[in-house]
Amino acid sequence: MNDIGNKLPQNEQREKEVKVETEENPLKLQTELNSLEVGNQQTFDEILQGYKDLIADIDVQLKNPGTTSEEKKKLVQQKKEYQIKIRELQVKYSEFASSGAKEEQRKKTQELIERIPEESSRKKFTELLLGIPEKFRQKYVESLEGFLSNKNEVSSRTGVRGLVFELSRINTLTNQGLEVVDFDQEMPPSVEYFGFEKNATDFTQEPTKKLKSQIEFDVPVARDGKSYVYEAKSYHRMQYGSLATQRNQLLKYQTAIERGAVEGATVEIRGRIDPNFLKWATGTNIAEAGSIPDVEIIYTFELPSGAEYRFVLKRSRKHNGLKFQNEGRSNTPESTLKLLKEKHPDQYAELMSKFGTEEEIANKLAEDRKIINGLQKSVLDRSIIGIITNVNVENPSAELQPYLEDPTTIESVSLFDEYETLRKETIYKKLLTKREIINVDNKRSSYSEFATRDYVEKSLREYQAYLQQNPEMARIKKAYILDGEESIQMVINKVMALVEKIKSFELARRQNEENPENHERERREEMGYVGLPEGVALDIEHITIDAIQEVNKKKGQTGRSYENIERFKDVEAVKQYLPDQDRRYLEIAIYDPVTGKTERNIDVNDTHIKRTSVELLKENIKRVEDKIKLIMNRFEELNQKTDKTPEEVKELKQLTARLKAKEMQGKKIESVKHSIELLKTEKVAHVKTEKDNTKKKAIAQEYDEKISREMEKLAGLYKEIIGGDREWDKIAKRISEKIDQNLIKFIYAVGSNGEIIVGEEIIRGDVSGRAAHSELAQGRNVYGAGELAFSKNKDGQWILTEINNGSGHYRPSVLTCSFVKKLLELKGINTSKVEIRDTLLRGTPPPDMTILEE
Amino acid sequence: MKKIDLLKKKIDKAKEKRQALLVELKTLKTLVSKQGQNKDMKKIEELKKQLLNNI
Repeated sequence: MNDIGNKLPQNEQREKEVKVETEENPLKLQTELNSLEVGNQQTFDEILQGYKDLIADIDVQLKNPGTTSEEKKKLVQQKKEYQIKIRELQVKYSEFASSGAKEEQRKKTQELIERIPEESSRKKFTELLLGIPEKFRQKYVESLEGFLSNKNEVSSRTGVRGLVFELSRINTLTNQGLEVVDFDQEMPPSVEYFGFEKNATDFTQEPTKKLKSQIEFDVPVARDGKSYVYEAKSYHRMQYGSLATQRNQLLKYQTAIERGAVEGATVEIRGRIDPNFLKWATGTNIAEAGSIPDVEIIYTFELPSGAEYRFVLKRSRKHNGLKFQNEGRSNTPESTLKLLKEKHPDQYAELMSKFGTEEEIANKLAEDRKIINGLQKSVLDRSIIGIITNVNVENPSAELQPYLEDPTTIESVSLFDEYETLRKETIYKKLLTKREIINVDNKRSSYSEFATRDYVEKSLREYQAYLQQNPEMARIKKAYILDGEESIQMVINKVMALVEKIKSFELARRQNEENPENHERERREEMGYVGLPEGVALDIEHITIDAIQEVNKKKGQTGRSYENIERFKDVEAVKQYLPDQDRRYLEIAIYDPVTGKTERNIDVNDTHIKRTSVELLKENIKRVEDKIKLIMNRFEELNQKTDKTPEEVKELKQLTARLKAKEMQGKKIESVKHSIELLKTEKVAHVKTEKDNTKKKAIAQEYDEKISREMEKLAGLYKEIIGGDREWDKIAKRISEKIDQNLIKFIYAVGSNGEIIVGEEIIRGDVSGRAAHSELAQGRNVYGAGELAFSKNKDGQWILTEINNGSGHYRPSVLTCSFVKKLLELKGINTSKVEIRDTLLRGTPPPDMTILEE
Repeated sequence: MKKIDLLKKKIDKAKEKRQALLVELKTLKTLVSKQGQNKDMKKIEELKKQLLNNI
């Protein structure tokens, strides 16, 4: 019974198949359009050349001395007609007319592409370039030429990678269809603004240099006809933002937004960022807006599977940032794989070619999920700043070591590759250790500096935006999506009311406990409590989440309320409650090696399992008989063949051995089959003569058991014929997993008075009505929260088998569990068989994207 | 969706152009074969003349 916890369906809801509608893909349409245009151009050229050839031919004839003047007249007339036709065509199809220059351009592009050193970049660049309209390509081709002419090969490679990154933004954005990418929009006029001197290094002062320049688009986003700036930056060695020119560009955007020249601006960064730039951009205090308040900063992170995960580092003041979604990588590997296979076959194929097997892909997807988890945690505790600013290379080779001080000095391609690989590995390692999410400091409690209306509103709006950006998360957290402004205001009001209530309770309690005559705190310590004296506080985000559920609750649904505490029990009442309970639960999984599918039979009983085993045996015998038939047929076929390949000779030998085995077992098989038939007839006869129904059943059962024993014998004989267990396992369906448990779970919360309040946990079926730990504790601080699991032992006694810290709302340290154990003992609960487990499976903290704005 | 509609429109236009160009190409091919035929006829005439002269 050690595996309670991971057999429970906490994840069932989220693992439900994700449905995504297949949409028409703008990139595919653009590619179709491009190929049509190329075809049209070719046809046009062919026609034009045709007329030119005709004219040339006439010219030859005109020079021919044999041509009569009569004929010449006709020919001249003809030539004129052709010339007119050419002009007509050139006017009518003016877009194809200047094809000479275009053809040259195309050739040049092709030559440049062939010079791209890395195959993966070359492939992607070509593919992405074809996805955008021809006239927009020029800018990228020019940049490509620039990068390729760089003598430093590493710089050249990183440059091209950055270009591919930039181009892929267009692709992602058009594919997601959340923003309009309009290649035909007009460039906004030049912007005059105050920037820094080109070589400036001190950015603490206000910029004073008058500058003027044009805004150029990386990706031409349009919002209601107005331009929206979207810049993509890829900096793997240098820290983005350390140069004056980079900051100036953002200052230009800020000014352009303030003047209404553009709708907004987003800069998306991949790689490293200058930490001072972050401070400059976001401001260091809560109230400070930073130097570019209206510019949004997004960070893109590459996951182990190669997919991207994007999150907002800094929002724009108007909250009108770029609309984007992350790929469905935070789902389970199985459902993600299924989704890719069914809905995105091209991505699936790419992963297959990269990782070889589905198993390996699934491993990578599982890693993706862990990394995303770690990313969210590091955003919460701000360690993300170290991840996105530092070099992050551990255990470098002696050769690489001297370059780490300034990675831009790396000039050797192999060292750069080492740098890149180690950097990724180190960052992944760091993120994986981030998965611990204990609440140690009560930083966002109801009595903290965050308990303000502004903060609640900000975090609520950001959470809603986060759900929009991560649709797969939104599907899981559907209940947390608010339908409009009115609901948002309702939630804010509710949160503030709850915060006030909790705050006044906690502050009064603190005052009370700090009184020297009050020994509550010492008593807890004596019993092994080691956390903060004030306990573990519920944070604002979780109060918000509860308020959302309460506001969103539909008729007949339970929301989240900190009132009506009588709904729950004191743990002492559990002792009376348990003896009458029986919660045996059986579940089996049947694996079919032929289809590769596993079928789960949930909530079954012993009879079902027995019956299933017999059915499987029958099915397997049928399968093995078919297999033997196949062997015989194949033997015949090969035997008659005159010119056999060496492989076929080998196969024939094997088949002969099989058939020999069949011959040898033949008699035994016949006799077992015979006895099965005999038993069947006997069973019918015997049952008929018996009049008592219960006895009838018993007789039938007795015979059935005998029959299945014989059938097993038969299966064993067949198994030998086809080549033993290995061959058998290839065709035989079997029960691959069996869950057999008798378990009751409670969620618990320990209050300041040592009371343990419990609520029975719904562990199967519809779990939407489950109570939250915050409800048990009325939102107040706790000295422990998680789950208690009781199991029925062989003697039919319920016994406490697990105490854990599984509360996503409070996230207490597992250290609180020993205190809980002591308390339970005091209350007369047997804890001799209990296991303490560190688990925060239930519930997840809301990702907080505000890290840099604190 | 706006973007997709735009692209679809462009594709439709390009397809229309394709049709028109194919018609043009057909016309051209007829012209080429006609001119070729004329030339062939002329050559035959010349050969006839030469033959007659030689007799």
